[in-house]
Amino acid sequence: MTTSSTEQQPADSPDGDGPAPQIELRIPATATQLHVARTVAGDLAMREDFDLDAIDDLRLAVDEACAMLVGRATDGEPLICTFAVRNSAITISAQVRSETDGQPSASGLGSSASGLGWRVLATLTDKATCDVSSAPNGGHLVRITLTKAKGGVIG
Amino acid sequence: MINVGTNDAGDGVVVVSVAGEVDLETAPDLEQSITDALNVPAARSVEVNLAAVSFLNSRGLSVLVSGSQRAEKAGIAFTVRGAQPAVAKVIEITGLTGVLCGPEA
Repeated sequence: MTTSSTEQQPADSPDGDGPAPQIELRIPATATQLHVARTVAGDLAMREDFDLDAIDDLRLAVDEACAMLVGRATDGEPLICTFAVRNSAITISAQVRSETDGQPSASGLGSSASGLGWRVLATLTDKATCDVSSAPNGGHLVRITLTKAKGGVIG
Repeated sequence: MINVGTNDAGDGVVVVSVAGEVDLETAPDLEQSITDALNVPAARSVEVNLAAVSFLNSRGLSVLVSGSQRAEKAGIAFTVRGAQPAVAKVIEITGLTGVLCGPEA
């Protein structure tokens, strides 16, 4: 059995000064669940009136980020994605708990496959970062954050 | 979800037809079909038809590149055809258009 859940938190106006609307998605860190993250990203981008190319870009970028993280997630630990919309830009953060602290990027300790994935996601977004921190209960938290703005400019 | 099939078109041309989304979950299916195609006796050319593929990630790209390299070693021509714009874009931004789609693309 797999479980997935989404939670929409209350928020102020999308383009105002209040907190950005945030959705949290918690899914098993397995290859079979990545389409869920793609779907949520695509739906959000569509609702923000991103053009079709930008929607495709965001779906692929999220997929690449999640695919990299799934490869290094501790068994049984979830993949947690948060989606925030602010000033017509979508910021997505994906995180797993991992036993290793290698950065899944072209310049990090990732495999050549993950280097290709990082190249794709960095090219398709306006901003992509990866950070690794110590997890409270041992291990590491590996997080990839990416932002894509409507029209390609972060407002 | 992905559907992959190989078809020996005769004349040693084997066509791998792919439909659906090629991602971390489904890329192994594509890889297996490419392997099957390369193993067809008397195969001299393998064509991967991506016309019905709506999504392809870097794992899928790696599978295609690996297929291309294995084909070259075996002396078999390897071509990717029919990519939709979104898929063609991924191939292009990774600099693989020439490798996978041939000089005419």
